[in-house]
Amino acid sequence: MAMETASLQFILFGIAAAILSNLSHSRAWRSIVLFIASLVFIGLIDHNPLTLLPMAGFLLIGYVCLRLLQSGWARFLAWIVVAIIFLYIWLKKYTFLPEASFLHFPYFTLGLSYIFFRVLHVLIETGEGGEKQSIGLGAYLLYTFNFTTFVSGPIQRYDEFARDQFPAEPIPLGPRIVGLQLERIVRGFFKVNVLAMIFNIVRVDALEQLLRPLPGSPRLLPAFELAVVYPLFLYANFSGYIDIVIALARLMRVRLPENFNRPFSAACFIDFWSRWHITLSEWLKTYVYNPFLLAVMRRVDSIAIQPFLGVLSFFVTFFLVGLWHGRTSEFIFFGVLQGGGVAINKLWQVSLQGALGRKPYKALARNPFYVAFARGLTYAWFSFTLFWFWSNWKQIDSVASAIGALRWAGIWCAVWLSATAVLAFWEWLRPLLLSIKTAEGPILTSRYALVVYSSAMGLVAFVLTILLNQPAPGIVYKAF
Amino acid sequence: MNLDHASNQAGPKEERLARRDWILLPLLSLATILLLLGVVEFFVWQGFSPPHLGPDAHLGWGSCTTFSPHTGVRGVPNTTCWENSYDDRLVEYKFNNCGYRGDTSCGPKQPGVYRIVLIGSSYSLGDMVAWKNTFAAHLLQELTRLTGRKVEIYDEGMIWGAPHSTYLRFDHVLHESPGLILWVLTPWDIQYVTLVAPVSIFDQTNKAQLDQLSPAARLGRVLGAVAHNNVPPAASKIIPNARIVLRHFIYESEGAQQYVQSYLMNGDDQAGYLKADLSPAWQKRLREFAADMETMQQKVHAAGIPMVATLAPDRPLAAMLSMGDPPPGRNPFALDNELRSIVTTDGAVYLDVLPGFRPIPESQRYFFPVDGHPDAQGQAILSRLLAKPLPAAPCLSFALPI
Repeated sequence: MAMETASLQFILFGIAAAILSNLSHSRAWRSIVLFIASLVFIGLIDHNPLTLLPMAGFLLIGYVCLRLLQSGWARFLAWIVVAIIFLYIWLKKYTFLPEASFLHFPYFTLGLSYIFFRVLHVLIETGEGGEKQSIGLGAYLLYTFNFTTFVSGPIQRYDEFARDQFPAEPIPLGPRIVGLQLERIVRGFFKVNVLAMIFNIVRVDALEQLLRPLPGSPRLLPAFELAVVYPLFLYANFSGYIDIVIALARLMRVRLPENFNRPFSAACFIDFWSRWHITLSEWLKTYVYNPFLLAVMRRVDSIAIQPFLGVLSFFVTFFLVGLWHGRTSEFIFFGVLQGGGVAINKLWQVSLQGALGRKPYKALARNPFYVAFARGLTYAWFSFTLFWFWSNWKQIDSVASAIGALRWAGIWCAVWLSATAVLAFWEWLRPLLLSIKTAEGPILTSRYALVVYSSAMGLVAFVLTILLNQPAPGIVYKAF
Repeated sequence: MNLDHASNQAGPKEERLARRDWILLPLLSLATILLLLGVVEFFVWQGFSPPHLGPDAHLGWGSCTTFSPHTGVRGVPNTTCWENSYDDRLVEYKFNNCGYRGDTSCGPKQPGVYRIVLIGSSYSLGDMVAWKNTFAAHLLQELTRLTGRKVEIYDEGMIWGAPHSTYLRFDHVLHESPGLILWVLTPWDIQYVTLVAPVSIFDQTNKAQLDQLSPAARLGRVLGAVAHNNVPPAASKIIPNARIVLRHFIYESEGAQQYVQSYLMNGDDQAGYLKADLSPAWQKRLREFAADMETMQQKVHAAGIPMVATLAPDRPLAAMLSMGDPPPGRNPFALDNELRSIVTTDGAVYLDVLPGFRPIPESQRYFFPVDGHPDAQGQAILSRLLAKPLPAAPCLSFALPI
């Protein structure tokens, strides 16, 4: 059962849980429904309870540490954090640890990456005195184990979760809000099951054409397609899933934080990471970037060097972003590229501002051509780094060798220029479309327009899902 | 994002839905869905309707084929008909004075001519492609070039020409005085090994065959027939054609791995020949084939005519060959190995063409996505793979000018 993906089964399950949850406004009832739904969800993904033991152990250790911190052991916070990080790395089997040290039976790790952040968050907030309220076992499990955020986030803060889950009177849920969430679910389902599918087909096809071309087929076009398409696939896949879980959570009267804000509109790589997987970068900004920057600034007196400390902090933070995504050397390099990209971006800003002066630099940063090219470069760089996200060293080597370094350089220039043009066009078109208004607001985002889009998207997604889940036909003759 | 943010963060005061919206919004949704369905179906009909053929031209097989329970389906001599499909457009089928597809007449064998009689089902017929693009036409040219002899091919392949149907008219094949009988088999041939009557799955005369299948297999055949619009005429008018066109584009765009995964969703009745260990149902079909093959081989042996058989891949099999490593529990050569064993036991020659598809990347692209028959390029590949080993095959009377 494809419960862990943005499948029809998952959506129906979520809607059923939301309906049950809304049978009573009582916080106890809503919490019990959420807890049971989360248990059922995990059970449907993995039927063997033994494989859940390591994850259960991780959660238990996290809770024990939480109780210790709540009991006055805050001075051991740093050691606790290190221990939790180590435990996470060990359970995820990061390849820089010795193979012999790992558990040698199959166990469930889906969602562990996000549980890790939630556990660390409550530990740090409690240890630093941020979380005043004592978190009981039930609240802890509801927060860390919540099925709506289990698989791929978003990473919600505990205080925000508690604000919506535990008040005596839940936040309102009227017909208009229900309609908007259903529309968002349809939109998310369309993104994952139609758009992401199409982009993935293009990518797989381009890769096959590049590595094993049909006789007489050119390789430059598949190379270009391969370079361009993965960010689109990832955005459609990830943001579509986020749309679904945010809508389902809202139907259960919990407001999850947004995770995407038009990331391809970002004018630089730093801005990109404030629009893409927002909760991840916010979490790392709060618990890595800010503390690290403060720590190094305390140790370095020179004012001239201080801007470059920001560069270093960015590198460290976004290197961890890359590393968190996977356990192999490809992800280490992915982290280097993410950290490097952000660091170079910051260095560029610092250097350019130093060279031009503050006001001229700000004027340049507002120049539409500069912004357009920067936007295109951001897209191209992100797409380049993603090769180490979806591929492996051997395949990257084959892809690189398929057309040679010079042609690849040309391809990336073409990606940069194409992204510049397309995104600039969209940034021009979007406000124009939204300017078509009535007294209630833009026509194209009115509830009537949303109903039309979601009906069309829903029909297409539904038909494609049915067709793709039918077996491909063999030869069947027509009758006379 | 603004709208999402607003709906996600709505506070205590919430805008009520106007009373008219309770009716207007569902109606708008329904209208959108119906309009979209109608527009797509309209464009599909516009794009895939057959061109006007003229008063004497016939669309469909009904006017140029005939059926007899003693011979199965045969071509009606001196007729021409046309077929229109969603995978390709209009294809002409011209049957000569003997009822074989081709652009030459049939008659007594001339001195010095090497006559090959091609038997089998729709692959041998060259279904879905123009005659000049069939592997039979290509093979004729290739063999003439390779051997330096005058070669002629009688294409007695026919749709619905399953092995038992071929067996029923085998005496007629021998009567043509062939120098060689070439039988191009396909997985479909073995799946429908005893089929003789070319009837719709919904026809009562096919009921006996359906009754032998498991419920799941029966449902699979019905769904397969619906997928191809192989339904009673009245139903065909209301079942959307857009879905066939959509499937065409889906399968056309899928890579080998994705397509094979889709195909393997079929049950054993349809996809069982791809398993490493063939099921009892497929073993039974092979035994039925072996029984007919044995009788046919006795006849050719008595007549002193060599017989060559081969298994040509269908689209899923071609895709699996191109993948390199098949999925666990699957073997693209399983059926090939069984057929080789049967054919060679009976003294005929077996040619292996499947290995020739292995090095071809994404070879399923040379087959029609929904229909599954090889297209013009697929036919050319098949012809090349047959032409090379055929003259050198043992017991053949070709004289190669090497």
